[in-house]
Formats: sequence, structure tokens, C-alpha cells
Amino acid sequence: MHNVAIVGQPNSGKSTVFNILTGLNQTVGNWPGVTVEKKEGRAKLLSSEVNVIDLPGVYGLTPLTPDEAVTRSYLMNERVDLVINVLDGTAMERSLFLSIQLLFMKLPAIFFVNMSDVVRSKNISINTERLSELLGERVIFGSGRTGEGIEELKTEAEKILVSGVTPRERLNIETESAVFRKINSISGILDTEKSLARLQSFYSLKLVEEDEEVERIVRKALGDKRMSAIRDIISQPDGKKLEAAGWLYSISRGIGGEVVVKGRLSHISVTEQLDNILLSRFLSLPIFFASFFLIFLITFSIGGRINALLEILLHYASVLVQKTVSLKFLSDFLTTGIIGGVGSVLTLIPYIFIMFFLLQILEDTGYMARIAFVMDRYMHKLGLHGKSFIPVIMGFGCSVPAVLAARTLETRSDRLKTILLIPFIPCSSRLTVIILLGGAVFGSSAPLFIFILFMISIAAAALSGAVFGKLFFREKSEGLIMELPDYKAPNLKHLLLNSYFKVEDFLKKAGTLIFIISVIVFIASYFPLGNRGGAIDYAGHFLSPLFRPLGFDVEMTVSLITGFFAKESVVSTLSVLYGAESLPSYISNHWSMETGFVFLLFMMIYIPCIATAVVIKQETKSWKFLSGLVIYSIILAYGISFLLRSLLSIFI
Amino acid sequence: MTLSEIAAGKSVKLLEVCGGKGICSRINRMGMTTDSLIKVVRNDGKGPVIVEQDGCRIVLGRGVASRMNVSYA
Repeated sequence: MHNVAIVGQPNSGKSTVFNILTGLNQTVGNWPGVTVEKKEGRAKLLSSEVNVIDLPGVYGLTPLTPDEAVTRSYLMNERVDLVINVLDGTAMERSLFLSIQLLFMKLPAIFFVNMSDVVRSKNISINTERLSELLGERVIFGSGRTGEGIEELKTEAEKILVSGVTPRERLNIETESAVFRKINSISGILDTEKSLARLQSFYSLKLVEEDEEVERIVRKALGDKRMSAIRDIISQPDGKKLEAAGWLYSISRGIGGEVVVKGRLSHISVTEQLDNILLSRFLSLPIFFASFFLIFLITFSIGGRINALLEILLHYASVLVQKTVSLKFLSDFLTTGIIGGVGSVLTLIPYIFIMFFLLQILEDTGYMARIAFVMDRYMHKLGLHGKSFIPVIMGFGCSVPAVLAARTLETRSDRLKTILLIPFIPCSSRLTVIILLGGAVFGSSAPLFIFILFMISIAAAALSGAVFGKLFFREKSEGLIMELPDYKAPNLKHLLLNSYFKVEDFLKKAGTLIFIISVIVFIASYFPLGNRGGAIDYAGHFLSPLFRPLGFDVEMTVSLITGFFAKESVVSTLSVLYGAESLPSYISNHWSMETGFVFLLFMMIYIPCIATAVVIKQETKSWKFLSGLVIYSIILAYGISFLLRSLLSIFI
Repeated sequence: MTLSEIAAGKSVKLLEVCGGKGICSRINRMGMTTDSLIKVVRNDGKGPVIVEQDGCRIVLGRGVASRMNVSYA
């Protein structure tokens, strides 16, 4: 089957083109070796079916982040039968910066000038015929959102794939510039080596840009001697110093200037009007906090309602099992182990789905990027910049995708500093625990205490960021550079699809784990000596003296051990170990307010759950970083809890 | 003068970026290269600056803007 790669800049509407081509026929996986999301799907052309790959968005072909590296390495090393380059029709000059670099790869390509609907509404006209002449490739004007041009795209794609167009020998861009002369002379040297011949133009371009990875590839193939000849060409003085990126942009501007005519706009754009309000000096912060508050409100009110229904179902399932299964152990195993385990996974799903649905609305409308602007000033106090705030926000949903989102940051130290904060952000799993247990412990004043817990946790994140940022990372953050995309109405199908994939991902990564742990906890609490004499009790008794100063009993200690596997299982463990008919009523009778408060605080801070730990290791590729973070978080949790416990015992 | 000193509504030409390869590359690929025209949309004197380039709005941290030498077009 043919491989078709979709390449485009961030915010070019690449995903809408991918979605309309593949429909629901897509899968989300990971690229081998890295945790970058890999979106793949099948698309039906006129008669044949093709494999479509949605490559991560890139501004150009010089990667700075792991995502961008995936795109380039795919284009360089994999079999690509056709590239569909999606261009933002409202920002042609910038879009062409990528397109021209793609021409250097000499892959069969179609250029899809996207967002025709927005282009017209902005009174812009694009001469696609002339553009096609200048690029020497097929150009199609259309929109992934309205479907315009998609049939034509499919027809052209099939034509190329069936006839097997041989890549052109010559690039249409020939200029008299010094950069181009250098590229040509280097290309002549690379031509002698077979393994470099296919991408010789592209490699030559990147060599002029002093791209380290390409230099390594070429040095390996040609040896040091010929490499130094290339170095000589690169370092030739060329009068006016013009960086290669500048040269590429001057070509993009030249083409853009020739094919794009921007008409006068009679009114101020919607984006401008909205920005005047949403980013205004006095309203920006209140609006941000209000939208954030709204997200929590909706997530937990709707999620809570759905969960109430789920719990009724689970209750009936338990009753049914108890009625039909007479063997005590088996019945306990099925109700507490299996139904309890499935239940703790199920009850998380509504929260995760709704939370990601709402966060995706922020993303798709374009508001998420504005949050980076609003928070930039404050994030600098933590040695970070505004863009880091986006992964942090995701952390309120689940730490796992939040850690993954950190890879959109351009420097490694920014990525590490951001990952450092995320485990301390109260995720929805921890929130359900504090809402459930907090409700039992604090009664009617629960909202206040939950809010305080929440704030202490966020303060812990900020403190850790500030301290570690200064201690371990000498280099200051380079700062925020980020596009503010035009505001647009979110697409319901895209929102649902995306949230669905997030839940599916969660189920794969954490769901099975939570379920297995519930079963193991049940078995370990039963064996070897029957109920309350299990292996897990030994572990609890062994560790218990450590936690006695904090006022935790053996059961609480055990639940903290299982909480490492998934914070949500703190609740299910407690309910198994206390063996109470209703956990909330047991807790409200047996826990004091201060014990409950300190316990919940400890639970929130003490350790990233195992799924988070795994992705932190994957992303940072450093055991040292992960173990340091784990040890630090335990010490921090213990310290804060101990301090609070002592303070509370003085005042109460 | 640097971009961080330019008032909102003014257009300037980029002369050079003072900084390493990383930051130059990040600025360049957003379309801001030597001699390109940049319009300042928002500058509060503190916090990030918003500029417009080829119809796109781009937010630049104050630190980034202060590394970009510009002149009035």
C-alpha cells in the first residue's frame, strides 16, 4: 500500500485535512522509541486505498523539538510515495518557508492551500496557477473544514501514485545568490556517494545551515577529508552575510508577493476584537481564572452525575454476584477485586473525557495560546515562560499527557523544568480521591478544605519549580515565541474524536494497570492468612512506624503504597482493607479532621503515579532525573505533612 | 533600539537578533528574518509583546523582544 505523508506547519489546519481524508478510519499510536503521537489512517481515493500519516506540525525542516525531529526523520528515512503539504492560505509567505525546503527533498508532492473559506472572508486572493508554475508542482486550493478541493486532492493523489511520477531533477528555484551557489557546489560533492544521492539537494541546503545531524550523516558517508572540503565551501565569505533561513524566506516572500493579493478589509477582524477583550490589561487574568473555574465546575458536576449512575450499576452488579456466587472467597474476589477494580477505572473515565473535551475546546478555539501570553510574566518567576503553562494546565486532567505535552517546548532545559512541576499539579484522579474522602472527613465544610488542599499542592509545584529551576538549571529560559492562531469555532466531531482518543490512551496506559493493582491488592490482602492477615498487611505494619508521626494507621500506609501505582487506588485499597460497607461513613466515624487533612495532603504530593513515572523516564531519558524527583516528592510531602500535623496539634 | 521598546501600532524592520543559534532559528522560522517588517500590536511596557508578521499574530517574551534590534521602516 502506498504511503502518503501529510506535512504542514502548526495551525495550518493539517489535522482537518487528515480527518476528512481518513474519517474515523484512523489509529493513534507512538512512534518507535519516542513518545510522540503517531496518527495514521486509511483513506480511500478513487479506486485505491492508501495509508495516510499525519506528521507532527513543523515550521521548517530544522527540528528543535522531539516532535519536529520525528517529521524530518520520517521524510528522510522512510518510504514516502507522496507528500501532501498543507499550507495556511492566510499566511502564505510563512507556509512557503516549509514548502520550499520540501522541494529540496525532491519527493513527489501536492501542495494543498488550505482554509479557502477563511482566505475569502479575509478578502485575500491567491493565484494558484501561478504558484503551481513557480513551484513546479500541483497546487490545489480548498478547505479541510468545508471539504472544498478534497475530491480534487484525492484525484491528483491517485494520478501521481498510479503513474509513479519520477521526481524532477532540477529545482525550479534558481537564483544568483551566494547561498544557492554554495548549495550547488556541495551537491556536486555529495553526488559521488550513492547513499547521499537521493537527498543531495536537501543535505546540501542543511549543510549550509550548519545542521549538526546532517553533518554527522554526511561525515560518516564521505569521511573527514571530503567533509573538510565541504566545510571550506560553507565558510567561504560571500560578501553580505545572509543566513540560509533568510535566503529561504526571501524566496518565500518573492513567491508570496507574486501570487497573493491582500484586499482591503472593511472591518476589524474578529480575532483583533476578541484579543482586545480577552487579552486586555485588566480583564485577561479574571477571564482566564473564570474559564478555568468553569472547566472544573462542568467536569465535576457532569462527571459526578454520570458517576452516580455508574455506581448504581456497579452496586447492582455486586448484589447480583453476592446472590449467585455462594463461595465466600470467590464472591469477595468478584465484588471487591474485579467489580471494585473495574469500577475505579470506570469512574475516572467521565472526568477524563469531559476534562479533555473542554481543554480541547480551549486549544481548538485558539484560546490556549493566549493563556501562554497571559501567564508568561508569572511563569518567568519560576524560570519558565508562558508556553510551559500549557502542559501544566493539561496536568489538571492527567499527568501523563501533560508530561508528553512538554515536548512542544523548544529547549531541553525548558522541557525538564516543566516536567518537574507536573507531578505536583493535582490531576483529576487525585481530585476524585480528595472529593470522595474529603467529603467524608470535612462534611459541610469540604469545599473549603478541598480548595485549601488544592492551593497547597499548586504552591508546592510553584516552590519546586522556583527552587530547582535556580539550583539545577543554570541556563535561563530563552523565552516565549509562539503563534497566536486566529480564533475559530471548534468542530464538534474533532473534539469528540480527540477526547475519545485521549480516553482510549488512558485506558491502555493506566486503566489496565489500575485494574491489575486492585486485583493484586485484593489477593495480597487475603493471602497467606485470610482476611486481614495478607502479605500487604505485613508491608503495612513494616512501614507503619514511619508514618505514625503523621497519624496514619496501617490501612492508610498500605493505601499509600498502592497509590504509587495509581492514585485512584488509594480509595479502593482503603475500602478493601477497612472492609466497610460504606467507606465514607466509616471514615467520617474513624478519622479525625486533622488526620484526614494531612493524609489527603500527603497523598496529593508524595509521588508521581507509576504511569507518570514511566513517561517521565521516557521523555527525559534519565533515571537520575526520575529518581531524584521521586525522592524529592516523598521528602517534600513528608515535610509539609509533618509541619502541618505539628501546627494543627498545637492549635487544636 | 530593540523591539521591546517599540510602541503598539508602529512597524519596524528587523536588523539582527542578538543571541545563539537556537533563539535565532526560533525567531527566523516564524518569518522574522533580517530586513523583514514587523508590526507591534501590543506592548504594555512589561510582560510579553504581540507582533504581526505576514498576517499572523506572534507573541514574544519580553526577553526575546529585547534581543531583536530593529529600526523604523
